[in-house]
Amino acid sequence: MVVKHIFALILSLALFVILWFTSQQASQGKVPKIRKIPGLDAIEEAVGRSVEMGRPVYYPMGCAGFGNAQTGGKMAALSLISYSAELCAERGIKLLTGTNKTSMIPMLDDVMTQAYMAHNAPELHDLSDIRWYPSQMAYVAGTDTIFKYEKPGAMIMIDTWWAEALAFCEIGRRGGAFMIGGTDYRPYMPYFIATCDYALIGEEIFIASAYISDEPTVKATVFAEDIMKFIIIGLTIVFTAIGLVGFSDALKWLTM
Amino acid sequence: MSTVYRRTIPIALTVLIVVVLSLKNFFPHPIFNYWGNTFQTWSTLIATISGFLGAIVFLAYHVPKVTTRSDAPIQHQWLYSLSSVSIMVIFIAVGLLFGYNSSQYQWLYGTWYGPVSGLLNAVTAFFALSAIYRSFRVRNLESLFLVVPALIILLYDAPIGVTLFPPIGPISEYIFAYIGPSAFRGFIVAASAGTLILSIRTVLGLEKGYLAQEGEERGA
Repeated sequence: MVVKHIFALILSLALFVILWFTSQQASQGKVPKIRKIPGLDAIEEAVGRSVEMGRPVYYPMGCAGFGNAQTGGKMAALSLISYSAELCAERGIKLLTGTNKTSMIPMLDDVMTQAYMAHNAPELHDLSDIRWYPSQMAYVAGTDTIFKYEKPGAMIMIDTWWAEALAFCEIGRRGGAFMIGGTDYRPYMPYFIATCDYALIGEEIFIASAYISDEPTVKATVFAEDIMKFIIIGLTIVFTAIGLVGFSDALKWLTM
Repeated sequence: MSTVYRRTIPIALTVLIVVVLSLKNFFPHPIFNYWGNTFQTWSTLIATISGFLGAIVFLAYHVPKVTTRSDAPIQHQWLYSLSSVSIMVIFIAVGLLFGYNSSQYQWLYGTWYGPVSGLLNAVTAFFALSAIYRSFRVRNLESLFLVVPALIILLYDAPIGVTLFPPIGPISEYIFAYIGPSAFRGFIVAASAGTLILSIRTVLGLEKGYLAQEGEERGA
């Protein structure tokens, strides 16, 4: 049988082995300590501020789709919206969200409903808290309206974002909201750094669920990711050296 | 039953689809290709069908405002809601009666939707300006690292920049060719490793954020 992408396959299998090793370590009580990520810690502060102001929290979803290369960002965002909904339910305030992807609506409704029900506050959530907009620019206009009339105390925008990110950041800043942003999509990262109170960069958003989880095996996956990154850095150095000494054909192994 | 419905079945489906698509990627066998393509077709169909949900959510927000003549969150909100629902009904009716390629539908789209969408796109330019103003305020050391290259690139892009200060040209080209890409590649490697580990967490059932959890599972 023909095998494609051999190098990627080897790396993926290696990651499974590393993950098994780190999970074993975690189950023996050697739980890795994850460094403080201020942006994730600040979610509680954002909800607290909204409670004091008596206003809702707004967690809009980015316009990037679900079911393609940006799915990772959406999965991380769903974990965080679930966490934010729990905090809001615990403190008795509403969480508003928005999307322009209809496929996100059932998932958003499910995680939010369950979070509010778990804290005996189902009356604080209904389907109309999920605002759907048919296009990117309608979404911008809708967010502007939300800030004008419903005045959220905080805006959490950790997801994969496209061009609407800048407009959202500016609307939130003008609305005086406490803002936490983050994206794994490089071109729009500077907007968050420039406008948000806290910004998460790149892979920080992917470890969000492990960061807020109490399960050692989930935390162990972050350690596995770090080991993987060191392997990639090592391979980069080795293959750069091999290329520099004249064996440039060796670089083709990486793309086999 | 609830745990099976909410947890076991979604995780089993996720694992099955991820395994088939991974096998299709690494081993292009006809069986893997067939099932991989089938799952992708299902995904497209599900996404299309979910379009109705958008309309339901839209109506769930606006119809109660109209029927109760609501003044929340703003005065005469029900009139705005009525206009929103009317526009939706007009677009759907014209689309169904004449087809979305018809001149009637294209007139509606080009006359109503097009200018409003264009206007909002144009407003983004002003947002970009105020974001630049915010970016150019040096609040800490990190923002200094953002401001200095940004100023250099800004001067490079302005015709007068290179004329006034010629070294701006080679410095900007150096930033574009080496500093920017090397930082971005580090970012991309880290983000890719993060995506990969999140995918594996999902396959192993450790990633639970996308699944609604029952009270006892939350520890509530």
